[in-house]
Amino acid sequence: MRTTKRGSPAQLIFAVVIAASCSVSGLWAQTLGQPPVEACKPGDFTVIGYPALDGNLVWDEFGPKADSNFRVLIDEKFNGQFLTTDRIWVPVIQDTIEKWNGISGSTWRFDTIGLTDKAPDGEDGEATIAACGFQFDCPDSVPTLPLGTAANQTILAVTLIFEDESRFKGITDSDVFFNPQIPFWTQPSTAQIDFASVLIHELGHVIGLGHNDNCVVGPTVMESIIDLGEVKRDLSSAEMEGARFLYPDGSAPAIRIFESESTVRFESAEGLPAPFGEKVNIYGARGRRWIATPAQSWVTTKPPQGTFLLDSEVEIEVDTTKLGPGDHTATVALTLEDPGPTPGTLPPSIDPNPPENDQNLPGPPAIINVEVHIEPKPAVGVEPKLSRQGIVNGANFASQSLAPGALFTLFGERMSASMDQAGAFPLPKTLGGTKVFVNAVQAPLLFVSGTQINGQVPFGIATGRGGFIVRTGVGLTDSIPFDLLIAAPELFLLENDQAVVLNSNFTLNTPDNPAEQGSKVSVFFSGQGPVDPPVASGRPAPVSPLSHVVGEPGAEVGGLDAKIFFMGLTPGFAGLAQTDLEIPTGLFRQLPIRLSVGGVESGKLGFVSVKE
Amino acid sequence: MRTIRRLSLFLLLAGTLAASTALRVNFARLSQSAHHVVAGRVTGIVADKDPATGYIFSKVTLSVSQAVPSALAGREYSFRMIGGELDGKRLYIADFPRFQVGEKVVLFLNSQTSSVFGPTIGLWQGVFFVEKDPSTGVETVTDYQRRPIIGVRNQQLLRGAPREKASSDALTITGGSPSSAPASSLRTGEFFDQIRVHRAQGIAGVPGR
Repeated sequence: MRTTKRGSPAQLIFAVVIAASCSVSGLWAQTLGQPPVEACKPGDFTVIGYPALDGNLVWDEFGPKADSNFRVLIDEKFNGQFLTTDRIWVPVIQDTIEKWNGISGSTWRFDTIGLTDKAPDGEDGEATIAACGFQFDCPDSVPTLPLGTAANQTILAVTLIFEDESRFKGITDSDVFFNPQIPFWTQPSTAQIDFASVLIHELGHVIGLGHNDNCVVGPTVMESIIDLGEVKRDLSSAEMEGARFLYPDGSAPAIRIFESESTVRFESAEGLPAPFGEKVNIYGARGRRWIATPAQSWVTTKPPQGTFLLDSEVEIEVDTTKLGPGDHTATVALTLEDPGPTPGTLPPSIDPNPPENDQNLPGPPAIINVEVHIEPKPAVGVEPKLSRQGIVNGANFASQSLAPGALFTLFGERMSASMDQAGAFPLPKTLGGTKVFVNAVQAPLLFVSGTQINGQVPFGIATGRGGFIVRTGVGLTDSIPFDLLIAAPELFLLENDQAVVLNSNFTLNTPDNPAEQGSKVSVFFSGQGPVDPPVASGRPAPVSPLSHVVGEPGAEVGGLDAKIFFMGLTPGFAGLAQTDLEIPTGLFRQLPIRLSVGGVESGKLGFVSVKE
Repeated sequence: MRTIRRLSLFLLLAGTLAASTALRVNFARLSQSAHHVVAGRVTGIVADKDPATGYIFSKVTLSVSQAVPSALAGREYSFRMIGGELDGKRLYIADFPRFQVGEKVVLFLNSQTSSVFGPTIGLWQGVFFVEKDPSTGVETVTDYQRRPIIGVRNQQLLRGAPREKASSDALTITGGSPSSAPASSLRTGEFFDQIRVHRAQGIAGVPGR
């Protein structure tokens, strides 16, 4: 049986994140759904649009855009008839509009042309910000809480989008409607909704941006939720990046690549066949053709060119047989075809004549860096090696139970030619030239070395009998059979099986720093199984809303049931879960702690120190 | 001696996190606020334009299989909603799910479906689809993002993750084939059982499955 040595506590750096038990009343501020998890762009924004179903769930993430400006009409009822006779709304509207104008690197501009007394019109080519009267009467005063259960109090505002397929599916008109049944205010109390925060969000939809809930951790303008009293009036880098992406001014690349994928690394050895290619996701405006141009002859791309929407990834291949031992670098430049799409090269649904603003301004090329390391001579037995005993839960290495979303650790041989560690989210699926497949799905990776790999079991994959495969640049392991469970909670453990627990003052629980009886602590684990709302594999769990375990949560401390305040994913981390619980009274010293999810108990027992 | 490197967890922040628990339209409110709930296959979508506003509206017709109230079951049912496609133009509420003829849906409808605020309670929150579970062949309910509905607990829907596609360069798996989904999804009948219970019991908590 394999034995392992755990790392020292000093090697563990912990997040101090407590999911507060307080419940803040709030409302879904938005009109619209969360974005699909795979639709996030470099810079963490999404583009609005209908989902395109091609048999599988593939979202149309290269969605429509407008010309680079809209004229804006403001419903005159905002001037003394919307919720109050005070003329408080128009200045806020004007200030908010200006925040979308003049974003560095973007040509977008809203041109305010004044108040209007006409109803919103879907064909006037102008963005009307409508107050009331169109659907609901204009109330004389601000509605008060508690809101009723009336259906018309579930929506704060909506944005209607008008697309014209004859204009390259361009947005030709957008109108924003505020619901006068909602308690909006310009300086909201904790019982009101901030008008400016909702408006800046809706204007984001007008220019073509979608929600970014699954892309970013923390509140942003394009997040689909706003709480009562919450203020989110300033554009984040994500929204500004979105405006630049849709309406570039030529100073930034029109083709975008995730930073984590902008460098592709290959490991090989002299005399060996060329390694497998590496795929890079690329993003650009729908329908535009792209061209990949390698700067070195030993680099090729597959395909060499394509059309956004149809080909959204490019595979980089290197012919290492042409290279000698050592390190080599190359680049691949990605550019938009100029002067635009060629008739006949696009599917029927794509118009070959894009709007004028989409014709040019390609900006500088997007660059993929290629790095190759070639060992001077072939190693002996270069294929990676992995055994069933080498697949363990990453929380404590003692358990071999895993579930979707869990952190795993693999112990083997020759699993990577180098030591490498993920530096950013989303976690890369190739690290140090190594890939791991779990039930045929590529797993996000945290760390690779020749003898150890840390990663996350992808969410959403089938449970039951499957297998792990490690693939390096020069070979792959057999598929190692493995039974994936629905949930497999395992505690993070330190020396002497001390569970990783944060006391109520956010310090690490140790025998020298015990928790108070009856205090609230956070216990960290992995292998929680399905969560609601779901979080994409390799991405950090969001702060809001918190992602809870789907299975029934349970915890025992010292053999007694512990009161649980929260069990779910730790915000800001991929694959890390926590439960916030209350230490029972009457027990002290080293108490055994065990968690359960959906009736599945944690395997390896841990201990928490409690003050006498 | 083998050198082991532990999983690295990066320091995020210290301090209490103010957890924003948004007051979503939970399942109880969905069930109680809906004027009626219909499940069925979309048999027709006919768009027309309101000449006064220029907006496109659609008449959506369903062949209803199950409904609350149940008198609608077995009948054709039509409602009017804002949005649709006409003459190469398309109007939609941003990110509102798109209906297609032939697909099966479950809709929690407002009394006034043609409102600019959409036909369903809470917009996307009142839209569900019925799809075959690829692992069992059984028709089950998903939310608007095609996440399977796997139960109801404390008036909230429990959702599973959408299935991830196998990598295009996926490798052959030996040692057995993948089996069940992460958790069993609700069939349409089970979903309606929950709707009826929640409508009947008002805001009282109902144990989930």
